[in-house]
Amino acid sequence: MVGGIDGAGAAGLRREGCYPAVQMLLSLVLLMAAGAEPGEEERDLMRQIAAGSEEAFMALYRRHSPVVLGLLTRIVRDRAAAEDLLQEVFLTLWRRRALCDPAAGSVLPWLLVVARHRAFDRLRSAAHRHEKTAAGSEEFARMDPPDPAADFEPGIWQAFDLERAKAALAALTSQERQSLELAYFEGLTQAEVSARLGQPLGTVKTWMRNGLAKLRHSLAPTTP
Amino acid sequence: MTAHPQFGDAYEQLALTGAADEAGREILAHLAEGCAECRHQMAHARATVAALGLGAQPVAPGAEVATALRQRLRQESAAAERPLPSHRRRAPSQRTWGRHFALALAASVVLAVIAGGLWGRLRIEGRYFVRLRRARAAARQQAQRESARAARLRAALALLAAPGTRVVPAKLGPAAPRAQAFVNPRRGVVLLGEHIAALPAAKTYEMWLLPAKGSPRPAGLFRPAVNGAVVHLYQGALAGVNGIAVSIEPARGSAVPTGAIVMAIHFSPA
Repeated sequence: MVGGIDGAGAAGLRREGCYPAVQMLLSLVLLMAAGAEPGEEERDLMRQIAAGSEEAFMALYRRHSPVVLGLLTRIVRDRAAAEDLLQEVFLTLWRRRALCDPAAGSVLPWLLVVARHRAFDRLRSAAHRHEKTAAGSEEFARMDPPDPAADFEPGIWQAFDLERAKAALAALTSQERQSLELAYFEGLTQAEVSARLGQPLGTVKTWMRNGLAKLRHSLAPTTP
Repeated sequence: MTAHPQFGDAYEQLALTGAADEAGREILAHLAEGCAECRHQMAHARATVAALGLGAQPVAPGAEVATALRQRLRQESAAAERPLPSHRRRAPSQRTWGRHFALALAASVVLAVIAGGLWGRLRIEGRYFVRLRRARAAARQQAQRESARAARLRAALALLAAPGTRVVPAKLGPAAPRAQAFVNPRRGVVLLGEHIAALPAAKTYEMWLLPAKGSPRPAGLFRPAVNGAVVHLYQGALAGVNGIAVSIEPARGSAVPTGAIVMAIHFSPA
């Protein structure tokens, strides 16, 4: 529990129809409470982690684990499995600490990319228990790009600024955000999103394209 | 970046839903070929799409997750520093003990099977060696018998060819059996017979020397061959002997004739 609001409370708000505005506000509050602000402090942590400091690593874990676990829980919908995956994601970072670039931005986007990939891997392995979701994840698996954990492309780090990411999400329309989140959290294709929302495929493609364009422009690296 | 203007927002779409269209598949092909521009664009696209992850409600993990993670970090660090494989020095867990027990049990079963097999093999080979030893003894006895028989035959032949040997046929009638004696007064007598009847195991033929005065003297036991042939040799001077006789006696022979006389051959004394 962070900031006095836990998952059950947020679920209650969702049931009462406060989604998505209240949920987003809640997420931002929790992010701030978790100390997810990037900056010199995180760069210093990354320098220590690259040198092998377990204490610095656990500090980074405390900073980012609520966001990563939130993502994992939403995809796999199983708290215990999500916590197992959370350990795997952070262990992956620890094993690749020598490749970390302390001068880069926040490691959070890389953690989110790896976490999403691992979550869909878990769904594929448990396809018999999540038939409907697994069908989408199988489709995702067939088309998924190579494991992002395999590289430490600096672009993942530099392109991400938490404040700008929050602002970019807030700037999306409800249709853009809903269609993108169905693809992101459930692994649905555009056609599946269209079927889920009961909207024409062309319309859904436009929503998703516009939403991604907004995110891209909001998060594009700034030229000094 | 300008090398792939045709891909547009396909990088973000690829990061979000996978290669659902031709552009996505082409980007994957470029990535597989090591295209640096696609790699850079894909990294930015992943970071962009990762922003959607912030839409999930954060969930604070339990303290036990951090404890478990810290423990795994230390295990990995210790394993990385150990020169030997970690399982050699790690204190065995209950699961490891179970695995060890299962391995020990399996090894015991295998050893028992091997021991049983070896014991059975030894018993078989032991019986084989006993039979082999008996066969060798039997062969040795047979060889000794054959050797003795050959020696007797050589002696008989020598007697037959010796100067002074004469042939004296037995008077047994026109039908079988037939026999004749080769008599050499200084060396002995050879009895050759044909169609001599076989005897039961408890009986044997015994040849006697018939002196001119006194009782018959034993001159050896013999049994006919399967074809009824007989070659029996008595070696010794025949002084005072004027004939031989053959009787049926108990298997061990007799000091004096006790059974029926089946043939008698008389010849003049030496």
